[in-house]
Amino acid sequence: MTSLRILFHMMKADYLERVRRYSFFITVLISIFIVFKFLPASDERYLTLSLNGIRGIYNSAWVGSAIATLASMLLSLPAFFLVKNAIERDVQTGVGQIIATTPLTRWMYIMGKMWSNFVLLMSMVAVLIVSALAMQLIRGEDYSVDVADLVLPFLFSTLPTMALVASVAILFESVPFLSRGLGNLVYFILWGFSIKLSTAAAHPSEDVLGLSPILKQLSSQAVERSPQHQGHHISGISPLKGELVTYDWNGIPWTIGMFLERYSWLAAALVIAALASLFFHRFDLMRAAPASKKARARKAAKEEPMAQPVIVGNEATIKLTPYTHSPGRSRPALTLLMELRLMLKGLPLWWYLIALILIILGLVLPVGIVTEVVLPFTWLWPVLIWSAMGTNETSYRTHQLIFTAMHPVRNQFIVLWLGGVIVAYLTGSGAMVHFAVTGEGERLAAMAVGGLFIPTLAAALGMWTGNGKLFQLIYMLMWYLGPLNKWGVVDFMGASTQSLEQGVFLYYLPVTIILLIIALLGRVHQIKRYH
Amino acid sequence: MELVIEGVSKKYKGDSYGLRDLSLQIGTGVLGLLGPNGAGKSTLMRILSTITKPTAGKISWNGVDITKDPNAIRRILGYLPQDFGVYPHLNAVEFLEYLASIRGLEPAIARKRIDELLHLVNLYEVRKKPLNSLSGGMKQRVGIAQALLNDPKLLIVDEPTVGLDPEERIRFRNLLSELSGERIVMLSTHIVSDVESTATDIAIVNQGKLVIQATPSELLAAAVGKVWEWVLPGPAWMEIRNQLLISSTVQGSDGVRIRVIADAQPSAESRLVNPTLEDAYLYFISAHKQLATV
Repeated sequence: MTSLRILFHMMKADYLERVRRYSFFITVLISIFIVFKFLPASDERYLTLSLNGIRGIYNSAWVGSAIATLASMLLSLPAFFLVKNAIERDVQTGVGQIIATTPLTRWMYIMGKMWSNFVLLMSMVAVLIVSALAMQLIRGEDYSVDVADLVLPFLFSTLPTMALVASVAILFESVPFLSRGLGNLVYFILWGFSIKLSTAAAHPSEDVLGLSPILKQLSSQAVERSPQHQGHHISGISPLKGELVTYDWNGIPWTIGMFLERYSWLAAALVIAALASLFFHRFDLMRAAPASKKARARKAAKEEPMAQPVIVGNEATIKLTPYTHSPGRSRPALTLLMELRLMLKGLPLWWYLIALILIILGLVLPVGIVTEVVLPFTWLWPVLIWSAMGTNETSYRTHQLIFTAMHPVRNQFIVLWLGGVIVAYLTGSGAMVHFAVTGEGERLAAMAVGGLFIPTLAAALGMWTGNGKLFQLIYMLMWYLGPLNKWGVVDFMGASTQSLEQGVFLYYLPVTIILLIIALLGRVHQIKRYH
Repeated sequence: MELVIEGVSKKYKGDSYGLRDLSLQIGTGVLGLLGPNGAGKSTLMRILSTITKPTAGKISWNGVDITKDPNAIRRILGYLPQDFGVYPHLNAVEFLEYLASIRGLEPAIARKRIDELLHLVNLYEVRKKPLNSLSGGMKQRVGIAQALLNDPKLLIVDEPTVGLDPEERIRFRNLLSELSGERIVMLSTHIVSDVESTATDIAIVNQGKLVIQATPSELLAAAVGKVWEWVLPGPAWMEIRNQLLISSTVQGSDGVRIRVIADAQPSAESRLVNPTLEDAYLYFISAHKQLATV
């Protein structure tokens, strides 16, 4: 009973703290907007959840299923970014050190945080359910509301997904090497796999996101009523070609067995949380134990100077060279070198090795493979470098040292941006040289634009948010939809022949200029924020 | 070389003030800025270092208004914030080189000064170690080195001895004294002993207002005849401890030796003693608090 009380109060405090944050409010607003756009009116020329141009009429069953699958698929990515700061916040605020001195066990703490994550995400799902109901009535294709048809898809699909997201976020926060940007990247890859697996799952054990039964039912009924439309439903955005065809979908004949099978994922979420409690440092930040003996020895050697007493020198004998020059002169080349050093220092050797392999593959593989496969991965690799742009001063609390220098905007902003562009061009140099040599001018131009766009997006988002999370989220989502899945509109690097032919990359040039202005204003705002 | 602060205020949302109509005139030497926690010391430091702008008043450096032209002071400013971070993957040399480039220092001289400064702050031996492997005190010394990179004419140090061990603390005080010759050093602290040995001038602030600006000897003179000392048995001490302004207590075999600040003799057994700077500080802060409550 005491444990339950502790759990409840931990969850409550954490939930209230987070739900009152501005970021939660913004996420809710964006979610409502997405629901609005995901159920387009009959006169709009695009479809979302559909099968070869046909969709169900907007009754409770269809609206509930469409939004529930959308939430399970798409919300599961931003949801992770939204909740992956439960432990981090306790570290930053210092509350963790107080918690560490209480009898609270690792398991209880992790469970409290996991439940708080889950309740927070389910609050958002509740908003989505209400939005779905509102949209059913707004679109007015069917005014009869069936609460069970509307809500059950959420309970089947979205609820276990959110429990999984809540526990995976806690696990990633607890495992030292996954707690930062690398973890976000790993989660993104897992998320991509989950979508692939779930949409084609034959068995509930493969259906992490709980999509398969809903999509299969949708497709079989659609094919039954309109045999000329064969295939499977897809959830995404596709243009409506020709007349819109709708059918009256009766929903899924839910059974308890289906729910029991699906809810086995809740047990998986608990196992993940239990695993997280094993890794959780319990606010002993010195605990992170190196994996091997060699690494331990290296770490000990590194720490040696800390343990040794400081040799007291005689300061009277040390004369400082007077500085008589007038400081403040811009030295862009030198500052650029320093920025590059700051960006690239501290990366593990294997990072450079893989970057080098991608450069070589860009040079030697056929142009088609380079464009479609090598290029996307080449520019996924430095995502953590870019995501630090404009955020270092806040993350490492160096703003007081940097912003008291002369002309902090003029002297540093452009070199910081250039640094990001150089990283893009350096990592993409294999493909760029290849395209230049083989006379692929269009592909080269697309890469040139892409290499400007990515760091500019990073700088703009980093400078306004003060951290790299939003960039990671937006960039990885764009990368997944555009360069990887070849959705032309977001293919900013020309990774598909179709988008190259359409000249999509050219639109990203003015976007880059606008983003650069936003980034510049962001830097000015960062400096003024302390005023 | 003169820094003049005229009627500076910093107002926050909800009618609360960080500073209220504060004026100071500062010449070469070390100005010790003393005050309790939350007195407005760090706000003043952040305004002087151009991080924050005042909501009212004017600050001029050699006649130039720095609120309008912050770069006028940034050229000659060295600033050690109370709370700052470092880039963990850089070493001390790289971090200082980075800051030197941001500040537009001549590379050759900057490199020479970085070497000398690392010797001066006793970090030369660990200069190649990543900053995340250094202790808190060592990082604080990196902060001291960066504040001196450009040979500043105005050196602002906010709670600089936090995290330093006693030996390093003394070294730092000596360093400040040495540096103060041809520049203005502003040392903000709530530890009186930090300014006792170094300050040529002291400003006491409380509740965002200036209480007094004077030399250490003037402050001591003002507290003469107001510091009393006597020994009390344990139980008697428990009775009076909340009634008097106590500067210090020392436990002894015959009871508790207490040091009290009072205008009149607090007890028949008490005798007048020479004030210390800590006594004077307490005297002024207490007088200011009483004035504020009237």
